This record gives sequence, structure tokens and C-alpha cells, in this order.
Amino acid sequence: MELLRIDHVRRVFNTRLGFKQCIALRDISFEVCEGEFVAIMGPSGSGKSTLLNIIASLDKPSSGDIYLSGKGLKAIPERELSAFRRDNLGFVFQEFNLLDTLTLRDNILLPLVLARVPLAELEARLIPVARQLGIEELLDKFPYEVSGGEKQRTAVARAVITNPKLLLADEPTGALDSRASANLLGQFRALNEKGHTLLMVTHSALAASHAGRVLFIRDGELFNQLYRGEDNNRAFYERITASLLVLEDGGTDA
Amino acid sequence: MPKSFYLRLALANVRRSRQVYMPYAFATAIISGVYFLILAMIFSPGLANLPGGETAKAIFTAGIVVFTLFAYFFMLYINAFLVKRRKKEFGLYSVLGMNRKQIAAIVVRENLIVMGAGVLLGVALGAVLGRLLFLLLLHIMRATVAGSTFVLPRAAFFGTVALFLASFISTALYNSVSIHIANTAELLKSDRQSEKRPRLVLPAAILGLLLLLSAYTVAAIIKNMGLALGLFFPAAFIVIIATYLLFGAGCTAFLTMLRKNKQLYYKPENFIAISSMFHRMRQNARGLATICVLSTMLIVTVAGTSSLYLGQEEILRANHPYDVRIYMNPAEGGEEPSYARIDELIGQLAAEHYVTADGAEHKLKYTQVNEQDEPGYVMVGEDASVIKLKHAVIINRMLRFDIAGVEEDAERFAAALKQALGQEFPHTEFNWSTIYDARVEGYGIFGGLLFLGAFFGVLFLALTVLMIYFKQVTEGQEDKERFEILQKVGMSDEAVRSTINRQILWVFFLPLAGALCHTLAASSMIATMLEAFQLFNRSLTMCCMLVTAAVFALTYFFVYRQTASVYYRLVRQ
Repeated sequence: MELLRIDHVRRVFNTRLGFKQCIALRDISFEVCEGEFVAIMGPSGSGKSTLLNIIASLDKPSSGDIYLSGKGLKAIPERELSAFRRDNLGFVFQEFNLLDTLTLRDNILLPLVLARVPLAELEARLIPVARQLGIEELLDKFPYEVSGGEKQRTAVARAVITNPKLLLADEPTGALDSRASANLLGQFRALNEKGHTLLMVTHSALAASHAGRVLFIRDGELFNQLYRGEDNNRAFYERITASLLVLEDGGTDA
Repeated sequence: MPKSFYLRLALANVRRSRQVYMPYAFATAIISGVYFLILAMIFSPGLANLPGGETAKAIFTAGIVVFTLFAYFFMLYINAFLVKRRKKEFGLYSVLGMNRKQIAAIVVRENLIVMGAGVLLGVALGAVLGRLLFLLLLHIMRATVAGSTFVLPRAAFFGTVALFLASFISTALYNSVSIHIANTAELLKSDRQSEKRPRLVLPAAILGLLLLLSAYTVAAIIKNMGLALGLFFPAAFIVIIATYLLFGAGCTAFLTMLRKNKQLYYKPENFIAISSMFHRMRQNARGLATICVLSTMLIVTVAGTSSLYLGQEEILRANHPYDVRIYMNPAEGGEEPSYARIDELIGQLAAEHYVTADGAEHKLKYTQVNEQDEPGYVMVGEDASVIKLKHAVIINRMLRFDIAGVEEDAERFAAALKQALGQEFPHTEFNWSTIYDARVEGYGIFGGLLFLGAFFGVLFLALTVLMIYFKQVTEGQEDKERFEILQKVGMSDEAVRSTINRQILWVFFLPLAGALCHTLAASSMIATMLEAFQLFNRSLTMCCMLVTAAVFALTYFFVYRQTASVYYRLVRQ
């Protein structure tokens, strides 16, 4: 079933004086079905972060629209956007974005508290999520007392505790070492297997090889996409790197 | 690298960080201006020539010692506060290939530029305002302008420059050392330095509370002015310690308690506010406690000195129950002066003494009455509104009497009597003490004190404002990131705004509330202490405290409004 539809999204930035326009996204359309794990790849400046911000409703498209479960984001008034984000979307950022004033427990509970979930339910929802992500023991620590990988797993816990329709991740492994990355990606797959829909922007072919589908973006346009099919991680990884080569080439010699 | 390169970089840094450096320079200017002015008053020959001027000078000299200490240590404190925030920047320089010596060279030049500009501005302001303030001082001391000129003494320039050289050299040393001992990696991440979990919170909080309560109790129950005078500074010291303990551990303990109350804590309107207050109190407790202590000092100093100034007539009266007191000290084996002869002399003088204040001539009449059981004489003028010599009493060789009426006439009369007595009894030593001399002396003391109190008030105010402003700026920068995260996680714009409001309100009104609380607790003790200076008008003291506190609270609120807008701008860019 279709969960997310990107419909001819275009995003143009005006330079400061308005003389020149910079096209970040030219014309992008694709769909994400419920239960999918999609990775978006592309070189720096290809517009993938802009795309993620637009899907996250942190930015607005210049034209086109985003539909989540058939509902257009454009139609949502500004002051309801934050509640919409809270109820439907989960975020994982490269820089973790944890509040250093809160313990891990409170960081994870933050979106629930903002949504006024009753106290009794908080604990009941926290424990399974923390257990699954392996941070149960660390809940009373502050972010500066734990490692990067643990911080990122906390951020994932915060993102999934609301049971969002869609989990968005922006370079989630960007600040992690290889072991922490592998652990995190394993968690993503586990979440995906439990039915979560994931959309991840990444630079890393290794990270992308955990996804079920990889979209390649170049110069603000959808360039190519790969399905995992029956491949294992290793085979999928090789196909992704091959595809990246073509992408980086710019297709000039083709 | 050429030397001018450092200077260029330093200049660029100063320009870039003008949001922080401008107020720093202004505060330096205010402190140095005030310092310059006090020195100018001390060294100005104009002041010493005034009646009561020597006393005022002595008070200023005592004041400048305290002022120097305050100014010096606060310059160091503010510098340390600023440098701590810049460690990351220093780390970056280091990564870019500058060695520590070079970084220190830049930072020292920045200090030189900012402090130098501040001192120049301050001295210039002092020089411009000097004459005006001198006239104001003359007015306060009720001295006439004639015969006292104000020149800017060179010593004031040298003194001011010396103070700032001392603080500049100390800050330069401090900065160089702190840059030298840190390694680059540490510098780079020092702004997210992991905090230590506070230990011994509860005992410290309880200790703070106990100290505060004991000091408050002492202040409330002491009714003996000698004790009040002796215990005031120890009590103030204990209150200062208690303030630091309570702002640190006390707030942490209180907020921990709030956090443990889950029903209360896990509500959107409390969640962020409580947790960031918790964080902030741990980081900023000392700064806030300092603001609280400074505010209290300001209120107490200004209120105390203005009470003394406004109550000086009462103090004078308490010290001199009679306008004129003459103590007769006959020479060894000499003749006792005859009281009857003295009475006669007074009568003669009074009869001779024509008063022309209202244009008409008035003769004093001499009447004799029995005043209680003591031998005494009362002289009443025909027109009570002009001059009245009353209640002349001689007890134990002490002749005391009041003279009512136009002051110059009364003084003239007293002088005439002094001369007559000296001629009549050449072998007797007469010790004179008149309220007129004491009054002139009093203007010097209380006027000088008021002036000094106002100077200290300005100093404390400048430091308080600067601290508040720096807090707003640095916290604004830190909080910007936090509020961005909150918005990403789904906190609405209004919720963010109301959370910011609450936090600012708490953080900034806590020191004020503390200061007002201290003032209230101290008021009774201060009134008792002023009784040691013979000021028994408690309601005047209370009134001065109230007015000063109210004016200060208003000023504080105004400063808060101004700096809060800076904070909003930073957070909501």
C-alpha cells in the first residue's frame, strides 16, 4: 500500500539578492510503500538533504506536493505542522540532535510528553523500545556520558517511540565508527522487519545495502533506482557501488 | 608573522564579537570613569579646602581601597568568563597552524584594544563630568563654590591607568596561561565539556539553608546597636556563602525534587523548563548568585548612605543635644569660674546682641527660672522666630545651651560668648563644641558617604548589567541549538516561545528575588546598626531601603527587557 508519494517536487532557492536562482530539486516523483526500507543516495549537492527536509515538512517545495497516506502536506496549516510531524514522522539526524539537558530516558520520552501521553503509558512504551535498541541500562545517563553509537540509538528510540508512519534518517551513520554503524543498520533492519517504514539519506554504499530499494539522485533529479530483489547484502552492495560509479561519472562517456 | 598581523586579527575579532566586547568596553569605561572621579575628588585641592572637605577626603580614600579591590577582581572575573567561552575558537586557530604563543598574542591584543578603549572612554567621561560632579558634591556638602576650584589632578590619571594596567597584565597572564596549558583536542571540544554530576547536593543545600536562616535570625533579633555593628559584616559574609550554596546546590536539590514528581515533570509545559533550568543552574549558579550578591550590596550601600545623609540632622541632634557645649577646665590650683558671672556675661551679651535678620532690631531678654532641681537659666527672645537662647544649664563645669533662630546670628553670638569668656577667665581652658562645627563636619562625612555610596551603586549596577547581558548572549547561543532540536521533534512555535519566556523569567528574577529577600531580612539589622551612628529614625531607614529596592527593581526589569530581546534575537534567528 502506498504510504508516501512525492509528486513533481521542485525546490528553487533564490540567492541573496535574487539575481540568480539555484535549483536544488528539479522535478522529483516517487512513491514509498508501507513497510519499505528505502535509501536515497547521491553526491554532495545533489539535493538529497533538501528532499528529506521537504518530506520532513521542515521545508516547503516551490511546486509539487508530498502526500503522506494520501494527505497533502501543503494543505496543512503552519501551526499544525509541528503536531503533524510529532504524530506521523520520526527523525534520526547525523548529529544525533539529542538535548544535552535531558537524560537519555527523557530524550526518548520527549515527543510523547509533547503529545501529552499519560504518565502510565510513558514507561510502558519506553521499556520495549529501549530494550530492542540495547540502551536499557543507560537510560539515566546524559548524552555527554555515552558513546556516539549509543547516542544515535537513543535518537532512533526517540524517533520510533511515537510509532511514526515514516521514519526519516539523514546520514545516520555519518558520525559513527564502523561497528556502531553496523549495529545501527542492524537495528534499522530489525525495525523494518517489525513493520516500520524507513527512508534514509546516506553517502555510504554499505549503509544503503541494508535497504530494500536505493534511489539515486543527481543534480536535483531522480537518476536511477535499484531493488534488492533476492540479493544478499554483499551482492546488493556491489550493484550499488557499480551504479554509483555510473552516477559519479556523470554518464559523460556513455 | 609580522607583528601587525596579530593586531589586524585582534581588531577583526573585536569587530566580529562586538556583541560581547562593546558592553565589556562600556563596563570598563564606567568602572574606570567612576574610579577616575573618586581619585579626582581625593586629589583635588578644591575638596581639601572646603569645610568638612578633609573628612570627605578621608572617606573617599577608605572607599577607593575597597573599590580598587572590587574593580580589579571583577575585571579578572569577566575576562575569565569570556575566555572560557572562546576555547573552541582557540582550538580552531591551533588547528589552522598557530602556536599557542601566537594565539595568546592575539588574545592579549584584543584585551588591550577593548580595555584600552574602555579606559580612554572612561577617563574622557570622567574628565568631562568631573566638574559637574564636583559641583554636585559641593551642593551635597552644602559648601559654597567660592574659594574652591576643581582641577583635574594628574594623580587621578595615573591612578586610573595604574589600576587598568594591573588588571590588563593580570588578564593577559591568565589568558596566556590558560591557552598554554590546554591541548588542542581539549580546546576544540571544551564547549561540550562533560559536566560532573554534582555531589553532596542535599547536604550543601541544607547547609546553605541553615546558614541563611541563622543569618536572617541574627539580623531579625539583634536589638543592640553595638552588636549589630559588630555582627553585620560576619552576617553579610555568611549570607553570601549561603547565597552561593543555595543557588547551586539548593536549586539543584529543588529541581531534582520536581523531576522526581513524575506527574508534574512529564507535562509539556514543565518538562523542558525544569530540565533546562536544572542544567542551567548547574552551569550558571555562580553567575546568578553573583548577580544576587551584587544587587544586594547595591541596595544596602545606596540605602544605607542615603539614610545617613537624609537623617544627618537627627544624628547631629542626637550627638549634640545642645547647640553649644562649653566645658570649663580651670588651671591647676586656679580659680573655679563663677557660674553667676557666666550667667551675667551671657545676659550682657544677649542684651548687647542685636539681631537684624528681618531688618528690625530685637533685643534679647534675660530671665531666670528654676529648671527642675538644677540651677539653670533660660533666656527667651522677644520674637521667638528670630533668635532664642534657651535652656542654658551649667552642670559639672559644663555649660550647655541652645540657640534658636537664624544660624549666622546664633553662630555670631556663640563666637562673642567664647571671646568674652576667654577674656573674663584667662586661667580657665574652655573646650567648645558647637553643633555648627559638627554640622559642617557632618556634611563632609555624610555627603562624602552618599557620594561614595552612589559611586559604588554605579559600579555594582554596571557589573550586574554586564553579567546579565553576558548571560543572555551566551545562553542565547547555546539555546538556539536546543530550540531547533525541539522544533524538529515537534514542539510548536508557541510552545517554544512560552518555554523561553518561562526560563528567562525564572533565571533572571531569581537573583532579584534573592536580593530583595536579603534586603528585607537585613533591613531591621541595618536600622539597628545605623543607631550606632545615632540615627534612631527607623522609619527613615526603612523608607530609604524601600525606595532604593523599588528603584533598583525597576532598573533591573528595564535591563532585563533590553537584554531579553538580544536573547530572543539569538535564539530565533
